[in-house]
Amino acid sequence: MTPEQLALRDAVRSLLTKHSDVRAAIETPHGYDKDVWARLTDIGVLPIPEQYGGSGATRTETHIALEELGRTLTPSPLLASTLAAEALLASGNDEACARLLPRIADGTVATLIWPWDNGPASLDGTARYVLDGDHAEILLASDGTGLYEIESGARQHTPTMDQTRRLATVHLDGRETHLGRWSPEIRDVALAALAAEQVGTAARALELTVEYTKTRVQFGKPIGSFQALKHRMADMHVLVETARSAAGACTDEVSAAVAKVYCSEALFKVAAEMVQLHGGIAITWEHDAHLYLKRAHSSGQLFGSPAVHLDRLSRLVR
Amino acid sequence: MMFTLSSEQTDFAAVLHDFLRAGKTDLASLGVDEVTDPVDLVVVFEEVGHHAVAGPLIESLAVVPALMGGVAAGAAAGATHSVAFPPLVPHAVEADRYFLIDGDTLHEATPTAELESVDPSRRLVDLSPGPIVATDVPAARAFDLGVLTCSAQLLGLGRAMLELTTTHAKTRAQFGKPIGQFQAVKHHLANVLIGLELARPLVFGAAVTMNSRDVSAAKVATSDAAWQAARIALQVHGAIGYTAEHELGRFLLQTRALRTAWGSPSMHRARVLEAL
Amino acid sequence: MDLSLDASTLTFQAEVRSWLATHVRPLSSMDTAAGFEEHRSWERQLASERLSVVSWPAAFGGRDASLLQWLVFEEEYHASGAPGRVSQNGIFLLAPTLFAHGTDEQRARILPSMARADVVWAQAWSEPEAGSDLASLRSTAVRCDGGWLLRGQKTWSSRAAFADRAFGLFRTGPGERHRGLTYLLFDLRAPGVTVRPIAQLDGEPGFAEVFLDDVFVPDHDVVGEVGDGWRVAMSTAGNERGLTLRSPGRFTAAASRLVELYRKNPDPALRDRVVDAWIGAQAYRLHTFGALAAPLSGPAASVTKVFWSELDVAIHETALDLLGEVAPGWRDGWLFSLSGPIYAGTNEIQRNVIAERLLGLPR
Ligand SMILES: Cc1cc2nc3c(=O)[nH]c(=O)nc-3n(C[C@H](O)[C@H](O)[C@H](O)COP(=O)(O)OP(=O)(O)OC[C@H]3O[C@@H](n4cnc5c(N)ncnc54)[C@H](O)[C@@H]3O)c2cc1C
Repeated sequence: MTPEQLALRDAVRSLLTKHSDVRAAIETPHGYDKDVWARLTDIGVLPIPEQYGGSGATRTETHIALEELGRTLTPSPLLASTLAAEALLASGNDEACARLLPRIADGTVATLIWPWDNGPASLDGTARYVLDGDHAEILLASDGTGLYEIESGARQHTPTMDQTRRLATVHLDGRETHLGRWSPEIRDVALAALAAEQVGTAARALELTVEYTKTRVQFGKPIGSFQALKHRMADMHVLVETARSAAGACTDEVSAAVAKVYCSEALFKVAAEMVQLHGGIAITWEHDAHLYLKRAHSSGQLFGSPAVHLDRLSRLVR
Repeated sequence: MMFTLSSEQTDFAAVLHDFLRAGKTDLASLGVDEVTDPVDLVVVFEEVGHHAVAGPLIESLAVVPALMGGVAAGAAAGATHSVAFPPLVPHAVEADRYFLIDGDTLHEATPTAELESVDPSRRLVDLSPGPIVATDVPAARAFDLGVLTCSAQLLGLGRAMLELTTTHAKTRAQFGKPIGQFQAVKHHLANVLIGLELARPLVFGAAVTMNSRDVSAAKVATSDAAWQAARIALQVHGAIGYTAEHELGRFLLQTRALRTAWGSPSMHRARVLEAL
Repeated sequence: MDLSLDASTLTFQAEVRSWLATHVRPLSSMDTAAGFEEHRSWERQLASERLSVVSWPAAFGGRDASLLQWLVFEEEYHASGAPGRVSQNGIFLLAPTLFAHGTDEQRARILPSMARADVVWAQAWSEPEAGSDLASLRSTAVRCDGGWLLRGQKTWSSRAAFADRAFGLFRTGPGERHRGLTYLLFDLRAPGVTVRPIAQLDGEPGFAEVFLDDVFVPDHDVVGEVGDGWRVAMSTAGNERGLTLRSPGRFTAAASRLVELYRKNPDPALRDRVVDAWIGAQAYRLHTFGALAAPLSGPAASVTKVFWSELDVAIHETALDLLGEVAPGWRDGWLFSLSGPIYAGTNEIQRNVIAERLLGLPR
């Protein structure tokens, strides 16, 4: 990381340390802390060029912020707004960019409805598992060929097991405005962004586990001194480091699919081990371990399960 | 309900164990060639595996007798038999006399080419069919007996490797203590024990029911458990286990060969699923 | 982030690819006397194109290639199906030690002949009682006129039955365990050396025991300071664990062969394992590209050791599960893959290192 990137990471990390209260955030009407979101947009982590009122951050900066959000599980519209912004930038419609991107840069929540398999999709029907779909003010959708702005449509929050990620069902009613072309690469952009977040979650789950096993004493010594536990944490470390490499190297369709499969599976394993290594305390509501486990499962399913992408990869690789 | 071996069966296993440990090979002298009951066959083949006995025993003692209704037609005493069931068992283990199954028809067969197994002590041949020996033979049951005895052999192999490795872990010292005192080694061995313990009842259960679902389940479980035992055995032995001088190699290579012999784990998984 | 290659690397890649395409030929096992010599000739052929040690300075037979170019070389090398490197212990283990701790005289004397495989080196570290616990080794080097006399027994030394010289650790005192060890080079054909070949699981004598009975080593064959052998050895042990000995090219090539094998023998039940193996090889490759910017520390090399060795087992196990027990072209590689979690520090030891030194867990 460059010094600027390190500074950005530190800024986001300290913002989240000071202000992020995950459990309070999920109790708010829209499931995220507006104050934290405002501060985050002030830092300028959305990948929006200056000409459209953004900070000029690149994807790398956005990924740094997503990784930090992943670490703390802080609910945030960053992923949704990022995808909406990316889809707009790729649409080739300057007018729409000039009209919508400055609002997104200022913190207006935007989201994108799109077919994860990049196949054809109907804009007349029900879209499920839309990130921040119940409260986003800017709603974009793709039918697999074009990008559209959605005027209205009934929407409801869809409560899922993972309360740290806001999902909604949106009823599309065929009233939309065509904005421009849909770029299939948005899928790879989305998978890369999600992978960055997953790496943060996995890294933090491991850190918390290491900290816990250093302090929890049984049989007269810290449980982290038992080889059985050490070796499992060593394996978690191998997973986190290789997942970080996979997430950091998304440059095309194949590497993005690799990142999605690899990071999802790594996070599943790390979160499951976090629970196992914490023992009984992990099963309590007060402890955060279950939040990590639930996040691992929900982000594994988001944008298509590892199985879906494995299937795709089995056709892509030579 | 009595899901446990009779005292005759455990005694027989002990006799076989001592016999094989003494390096004797003439199993017929113990009457093993007259064993036909599947549970008894499992008892025999677990010991065969336990001592990594090589050769076409599954074929000679379990499969061919089942195909020929017990009479080893015209075979000289002590002659070994082998059989292929293409496509599931495409090659035969080297023997004195060969057969080939086509549907429910049993052919004499002649070897055409030698093939290399991952286990060099298992010599394999390709067969070409000769004259018909019998029609309407119980091919399906004979195949299942092959799978079952192969599973029993894997179980015995796994047990032997666990024993070898446990002994090694108690005697080999590094960092001033027996390596068996390190949790990593302990847990490796405990995992092997768990795998074998849970595979074992599946083998005996299959011997009782003799339906293909249960036989396949036993093969899947023993293939995985015995191969896990082999991997851990090598890992815990370290470099010495990687030498031809050490006996582990024989067990390890035979286990790897039997893991995919008589149908691969994925073929047997598919068979279980189909039956459900 | 950018994974594209610069123009000079692309030119280099094209040269390597076309040379290998016309020169690679199958050789017999390098763990046999005849195969060893075939591999030695192959090394000489590589050396004559200055392809045996591309990352070394030109003065020693290399091309001053960057680390990235070296990785590209390795990818091409393994993708072409070229033979294993009989010089690997010298090139990947001893040479980095000499670059870091040797004298100019030693580098000038030893490296060029190593690059041409005129001298093939064996590693003589392990002893019967000192495997994982290397610091418990007992072989000694005793001061004598103009040098040292070696006494003791080394074991598991790969291809020492056929190699020319060896590098090892010896107790010179004073002090116990890690203290009082010295890194010495000796001739495997010197008076007092007895080499007993030991067959490996494939039946070939890939290992050897080396008995040393007052074997003379001149002073100029001490590497680093007398008594500093542990530090000298460990500072480059990461090479064995990490990138250099087992570069990603080896695994990306094996994974591609596995995918090809699957296409010919599709077994849907094994599909996920095939793709996971391929993904694992990609992850290792990318992990290595990351390490180009920030070289791996000693303990971080433990991460790659665990990863590549288990990946290699997964690739080969999957191939065998696809093929069954008749597995031509895969058997030797498969058997060798099983030893990966043992040599270069067992994976149990690596996990201890990761847990204690990278994660800070209590001992
Ligand atoms: C193919 C191959 C090539 C080799 N080539 C060479 C060579 O060229 N030169 C050379 O010098 N050596 C060579 N070796 C030897 C290698 O370095 C040793 O095998 C290795 O150091 C392990 O030692 P060991 O085999 O004695 O196993 P041991 O140390 O006896 O270990 C046995 C088991 O105990 C475990 N164990 C030991 N200590 C601990 C602990 N503290 N915590 C948890 N578990 C522990 C180990 O992980 C292992 O599972 C080679 C080995 C192989 C397999």
